[in-house]
Amino acid sequence: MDGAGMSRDDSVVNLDDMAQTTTSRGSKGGHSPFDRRTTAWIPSSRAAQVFAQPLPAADKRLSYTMPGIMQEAPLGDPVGDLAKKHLGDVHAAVVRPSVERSTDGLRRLIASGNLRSAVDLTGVLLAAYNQGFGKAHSPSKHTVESLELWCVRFQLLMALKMNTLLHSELETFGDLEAPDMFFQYYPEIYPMKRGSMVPFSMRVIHAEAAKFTPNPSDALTRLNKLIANINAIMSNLSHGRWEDGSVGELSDDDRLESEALWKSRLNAVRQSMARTFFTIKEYHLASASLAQVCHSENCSLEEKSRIYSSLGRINLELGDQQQAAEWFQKCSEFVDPTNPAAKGIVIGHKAYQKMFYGNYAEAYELMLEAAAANDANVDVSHLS
Amino acid sequence: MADSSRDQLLTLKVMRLTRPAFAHNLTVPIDPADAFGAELQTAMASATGQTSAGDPLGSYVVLPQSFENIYLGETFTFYMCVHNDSNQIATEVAIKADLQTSSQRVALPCKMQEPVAELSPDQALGEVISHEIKEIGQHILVCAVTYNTAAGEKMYFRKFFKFPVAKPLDVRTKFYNAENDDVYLEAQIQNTSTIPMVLERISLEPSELYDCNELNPPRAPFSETPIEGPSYLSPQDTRQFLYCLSPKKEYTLKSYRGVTSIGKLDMIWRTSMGERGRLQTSQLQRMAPGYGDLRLTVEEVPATVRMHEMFKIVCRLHNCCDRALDLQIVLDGSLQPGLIWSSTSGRHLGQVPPNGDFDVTLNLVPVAFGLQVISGIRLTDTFLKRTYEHDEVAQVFVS
Repeated sequence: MDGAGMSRDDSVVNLDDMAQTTTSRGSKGGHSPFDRRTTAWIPSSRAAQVFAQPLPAADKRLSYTMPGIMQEAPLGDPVGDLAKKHLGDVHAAVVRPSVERSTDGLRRLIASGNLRSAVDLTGVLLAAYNQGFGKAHSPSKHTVESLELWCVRFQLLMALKMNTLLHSELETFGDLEAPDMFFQYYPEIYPMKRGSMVPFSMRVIHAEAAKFTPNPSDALTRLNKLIANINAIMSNLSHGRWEDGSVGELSDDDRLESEALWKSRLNAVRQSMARTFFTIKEYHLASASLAQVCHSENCSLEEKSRIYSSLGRINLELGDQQQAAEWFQKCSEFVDPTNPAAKGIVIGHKAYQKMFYGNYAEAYELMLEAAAANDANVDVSHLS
Repeated sequence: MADSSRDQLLTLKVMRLTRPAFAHNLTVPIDPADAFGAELQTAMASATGQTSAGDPLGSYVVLPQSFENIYLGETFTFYMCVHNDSNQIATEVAIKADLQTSSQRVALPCKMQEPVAELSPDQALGEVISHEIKEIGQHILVCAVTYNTAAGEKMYFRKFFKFPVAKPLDVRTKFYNAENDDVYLEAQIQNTSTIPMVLERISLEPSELYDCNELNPPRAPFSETPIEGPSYLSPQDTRQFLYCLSPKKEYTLKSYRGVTSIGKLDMIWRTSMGERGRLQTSQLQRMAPGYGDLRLTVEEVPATVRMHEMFKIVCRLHNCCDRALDLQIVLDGSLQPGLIWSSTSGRHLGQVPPNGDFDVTLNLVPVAFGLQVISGIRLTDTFLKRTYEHDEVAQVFVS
């Protein structure tokens, strides 16, 4: 990196080194067909305009997206504190692992269920990219790795229901379509590579997180935009072009794999829409979205039975037993008979319906039967 | 009596038993191409026990977490439990439960009313009690516990649980009178609660004067992607129901004059996980349209007629009053320029007894195109020299 006339503080990290390390998610910055498929994205008109001109030198480039974490204090350990309070230091029931400060350490924390420590660790790792606390709205460089860290952080924040923090940290990313979110913006690091550095999960979180704001319909707008972009990509593929519309080598296998990938991503977005509708209490529309997923050609049987079961439960929660019974019936048509848990699920459905009509004794008998068929898929404890 | 500030040996707890609800899952969108997503899902599942990060509702059913709203028409079910916290034996334990509203105090049936129970240390005694909520407003559940300590001292304490009861539905009714004595009742039912509800059955129980015919479409057959709206009623939404009430043949028209009772609207609904509610309106009243002494209805009239071709109408005259009417008919053509009367005017029709009917056939010739209104029938009662005017009795289309 050129030392003179820098508009950013690069002293903290050497991006050349960072580009070489591979995270546990794969290189993404490479040129394999898998990389091309997963990172493909049609740039927004605003980004396309910037790429149409020759880019200024690296040090004179503008920084559009300027994120920074918004909480300095560690998230703490409420369960551990409570255990200490009630059980005393001697019993210190909750032991938190200590891991190295790297992405591998992050994976270990998540795999062992220590989600809060994982969030704190993402904060520490992001500080190395100059995007730590207090760095929001100051310029910084983006790489595939830094964006993956942000993605993990957002997934964890959503899982921990820390929606205000999630929303404030997402804000600096705008609509994820700024020019500096694309590989085209960093030709010296990712030569000849086109596509978006933003992980797809982050796009969906960015859209779905809006359902917790005072304007939940923003989530629907963003999700619809995602669907439009995915449809454009699939249209390009069906015409033998690459995902972003450019003409290049595309073998039949490659194209089929890509179509399968984007179809499954489309279903993920539809499920996100269903969850958004559920949050804003439009249960009717949530059902319609989920039914769309079930009707798509690449929906697996397991997926179908899971969704039908979910639809049945939603209708029981509403008070509509007739509709719920229909959904449960459909679910039993797709349940895998070789799966021992399947019998438990079907009995579980019958038990829910008994509960609906207040027949708790019969429901209890059915639950015991379900528990005998398979272990702990449904659990209920009720005084009656 | 014991000093009420002394420490009590027993404690009382009350828990409302609503239907169990499904646990809400933690959801995180997962990219199917991202291997890490599956790992995250597994980690979340180990923390909460849910099986997927995609479903909004889990498969676990949880006990009620807080006291939800209760509505008029629902059943209030609760579990009342008394526990011996001390290390003494308590004898002659009795519990009484009353429900107090602004207008009355209802004693709830309780098996533990008789002072025969005995509680050893750390033992508990409980009972489930149900009561249908029939009033709105503030309700107070009063639980009174009496018992004896080991020393024979009589102890007593009470606990109060206040909760409000709101109205879940708002019913508005509209009546439409048809020409043939039928009455159409439109009932608009609005969900005034805070949760969606499914109207299981809305029926009209007619009074003895009417037969009821329900005119609501049956529930659409199940479809994965239904075209019509939702089967449930969201808060503040309204649904309309239509009923046709026909007067029973055995009653004369006289019984339907003035204010009559139509019937009662019976509503059954279900909310989350089957919580049931039922309400009935009071007898709905209808003000019958007045007909005066003599009523004229058109029994037969063609809908369309040809220009210059004579057509006939059949009018039924019904004597609505208590005396006989001696009728003479006069046809006045000045009010209907497009039609010409072609029957004899000034005819004497004869006597019509009280509550009796008399049919008259009249002929007309159209002389103008378009929708023409038939008017100008004048009937005179020669007994009392009273004239009844009937205009705009029917319409015909002349082509």
